[in-house]
Amino acid sequence: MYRSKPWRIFQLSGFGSPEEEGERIRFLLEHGETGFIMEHDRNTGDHLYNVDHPEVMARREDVGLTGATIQSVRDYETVLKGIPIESTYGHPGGGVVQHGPYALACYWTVARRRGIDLGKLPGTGQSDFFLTYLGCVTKQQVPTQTGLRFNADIIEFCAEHMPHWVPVSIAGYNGADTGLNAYQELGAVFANAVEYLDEIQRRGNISIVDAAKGVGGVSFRVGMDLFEDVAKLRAGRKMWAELLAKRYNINDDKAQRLRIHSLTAGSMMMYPQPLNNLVRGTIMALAGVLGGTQSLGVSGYDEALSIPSEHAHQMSLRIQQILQNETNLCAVADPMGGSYFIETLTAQVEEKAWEFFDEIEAHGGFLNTLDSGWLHQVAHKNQFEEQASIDDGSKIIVGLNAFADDVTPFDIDGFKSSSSEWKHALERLNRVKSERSAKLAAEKMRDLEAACRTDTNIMPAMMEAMDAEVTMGEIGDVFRNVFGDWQTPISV
Amino acid sequence: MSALGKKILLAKTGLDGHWRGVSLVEKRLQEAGFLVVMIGMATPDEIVSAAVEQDVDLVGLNVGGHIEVVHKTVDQLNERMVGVPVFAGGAIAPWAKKELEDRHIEVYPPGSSLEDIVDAAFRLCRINVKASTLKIEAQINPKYSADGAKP
Repeated sequence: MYRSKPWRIFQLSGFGSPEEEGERIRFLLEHGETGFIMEHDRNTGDHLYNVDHPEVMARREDVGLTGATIQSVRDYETVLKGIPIESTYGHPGGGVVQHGPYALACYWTVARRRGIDLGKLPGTGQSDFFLTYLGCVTKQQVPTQTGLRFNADIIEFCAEHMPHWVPVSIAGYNGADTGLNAYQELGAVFANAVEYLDEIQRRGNISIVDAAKGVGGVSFRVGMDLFEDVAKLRAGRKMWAELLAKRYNINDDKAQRLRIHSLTAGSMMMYPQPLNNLVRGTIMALAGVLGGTQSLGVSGYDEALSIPSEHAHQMSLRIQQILQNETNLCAVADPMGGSYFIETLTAQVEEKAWEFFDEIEAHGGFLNTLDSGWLHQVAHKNQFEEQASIDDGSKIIVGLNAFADDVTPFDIDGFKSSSSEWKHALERLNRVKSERSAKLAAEKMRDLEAACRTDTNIMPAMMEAMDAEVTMGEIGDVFRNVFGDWQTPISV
Repeated sequence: MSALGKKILLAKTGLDGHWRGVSLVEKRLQEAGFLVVMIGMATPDEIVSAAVEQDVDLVGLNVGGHIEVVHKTVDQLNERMVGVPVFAGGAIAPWAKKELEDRHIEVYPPGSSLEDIVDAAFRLCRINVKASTLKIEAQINPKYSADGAKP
């Protein structure tokens, strides 16, 4: 395992303009990051709005705060300038389900324009249901059934054309940081996976083994309960192999190997005494490593204050580099295996995770628990209880509800990005629209709409549309027109 | 009307869907006896119009973005609803927290205790009660029925 290949250092990064995002990604790669995750402006990206959408114009100062504003394939080209994507593992964004097809099609179009064979392109998509429908519910979003169709389209497209690309990544992280506990996170992740697999089996376009290979890339949250998180990752691998064997009769080694990205819990990074978060980041990272993660992101020490400063990002790399190079942690696979405590805990977590999986199935399956709000209810109840235990002091958080004295000799003020990106983004948008062939763009939008209205895979039409420089907001208009909006079970 | 006879408007100024903090605050304020009008993601115009129409006693803003939008909202609010207090929460950096506090907007960053937030609501609505004297039971959000069906 790590003896031949250490885990991938894989950080989420980006803000402001495409130039600024590219600069930060190159900074991280130069400082030892071994893959990169593009972050998008959430006001525009999550909603598939261009910057001239009235909802965005009303909050124009916010644009670019949480990620770069990337409205067309040209913006992708700007971000990726100077980055050898043929040999660098990339994540083009698209965490939110309706954003996934757009982000992937743009990134793949950049690769094509550079003459890179898509069959060799390494990287991962996300299109995560936990983020989209549970953790970070947006104002407008395609319904869950449409999301399922999009993800099946992406999985099938990758199975056919892109063997080195992980098409989607189920991010239990987003469920866990919304309140699901360890076994609930696991149970829900696999309840999500069977929705994808059952749908692809029903469609019958690719083999179930290929489908399983596409679905077996997940992300988990690693938090401050070190032993439980190690147990969770270990149980996750076992459950995936068993699920495939028992439910789908799949015994293919490669398909049964769960590939795990771990991310340290953002919610456990505290606002007071932010340097304490370097210690928290190290401990959470350690849980991921002892649990055998394939890639790892460590939240910035200023996570509770703002998006990461350059220094916070550098420290997230350094934590991982110290663990990889100075500790001998890479010497052995599954170092906690055989410990009576870890083995017992792993068995317990697994048992309870299957029970929760069954509970979701009894509520009509994963998508139904999102549509009905049942899963939100479970997560909110946990959040409330956790917060109550901090408020009443029964759970101690250093620097927050205990040991509050602070002699840090300098201010950590949070990252301050520009609030004038909206104007530049509007200029770029108008330039794309005036310079592209209006006729070709309109034709490709019609083709996309036609694909959406039938059961044709949307990805080829998406890529043609991106190459014709159709913009993000226009894609959003097509989706909204054809599929309508998800009826949220919480007020947004 | 609520047990306390006081109304609080809660809104998210940004389109960034981090709901964890604001839903905890919503639930706890309801349990403390406030009538909470939660309008979700809203523009400055929408927030101010809702505050005026609902004639609220306090406005709570969940900030997931730059604070210029908060300034814009508070400026408009001050024109149309003189004297209505505002408090804010969310990932507000220390420099931004100070800027808002300078214009008398109380700020509750991540990790703030819900009891402190409820106390702030009592104080800003001029109710002479302390959250610590209330017995508040954790309960499931009443928006959802027991079997998770939509209301």
